[in-house]
Amino acid sequence: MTDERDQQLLALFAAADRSIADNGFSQRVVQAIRRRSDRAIAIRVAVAVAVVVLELMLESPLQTSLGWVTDVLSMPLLSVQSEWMAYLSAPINSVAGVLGILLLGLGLIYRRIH
Amino acid sequence: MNEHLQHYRQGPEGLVVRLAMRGDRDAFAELVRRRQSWVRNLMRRLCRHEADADDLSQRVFLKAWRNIKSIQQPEKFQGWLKRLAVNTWIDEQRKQQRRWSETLDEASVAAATSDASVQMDLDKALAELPPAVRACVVLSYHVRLSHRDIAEATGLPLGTVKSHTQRGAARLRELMIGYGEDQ
Repeated sequence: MTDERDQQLLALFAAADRSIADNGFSQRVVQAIRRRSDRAIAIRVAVAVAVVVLELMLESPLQTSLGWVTDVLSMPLLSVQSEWMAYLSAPINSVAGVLGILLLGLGLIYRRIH
Repeated sequence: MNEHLQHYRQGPEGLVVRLAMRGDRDAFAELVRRRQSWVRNLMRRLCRHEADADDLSQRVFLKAWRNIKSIQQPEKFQGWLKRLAVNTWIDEQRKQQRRWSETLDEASVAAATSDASVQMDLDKALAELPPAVRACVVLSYHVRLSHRDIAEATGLPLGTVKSHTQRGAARLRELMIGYGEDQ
């Protein structure tokens, strides 16, 4: 059995492919898109306000955490004596550098596969 | 009508798609206007109820808006939308946990033809077929997917897809007797 189709039935499907009048369908789709977009903006604003309020109320937990993450990411993996060498090698001689290279590698592998 | 909307109406589809990919809602509305008939026709053939079909069609376009930036070739928007429509319908079937019988239910197909002499339009005739058979016939004849693609999309075994399509088409021909002669 192959993918061959009954020609009569194919013609019937083509003939029955009537044009459906829009009757406001496109408008409803656009309105639904607008509603979703408005809702997404409202959620983002609410989250931002909540973050600011929490920062003010709880002695900046987010700022403290971000400072901690920055410290960890910039931590050198190997100690370099010379100051200018330390600056020069910082992009790769740090936790952030290794993570960046790892992510780049994973991205390349993903692109190869897909 | 605004002048730019007039331009969209006359513009080539590839260009309108590119504008929609940049977030232009008017351009996307034009794409919906151009393609709504095909998508709604497909959904009406797959679903039994018009209202359900239109709900699903709307969902297809909402998904299209969300994912439009992922289109690789804007000129092939129609094919992309076709796949999206079929996947949306299949996802809906999975959500409803519809378990399609893998064997063709001869009794239910035969029982559906109690008044075969009456002229029926294609949508009504399709509605008489069991869901899995209808799906295979519509995906094969309306969307023109290959048996292999239908099997992949629906999760039905290839042999089942072939037999559903062939026997569904045969039943459809019986149901539609007289239709072609009067056209």
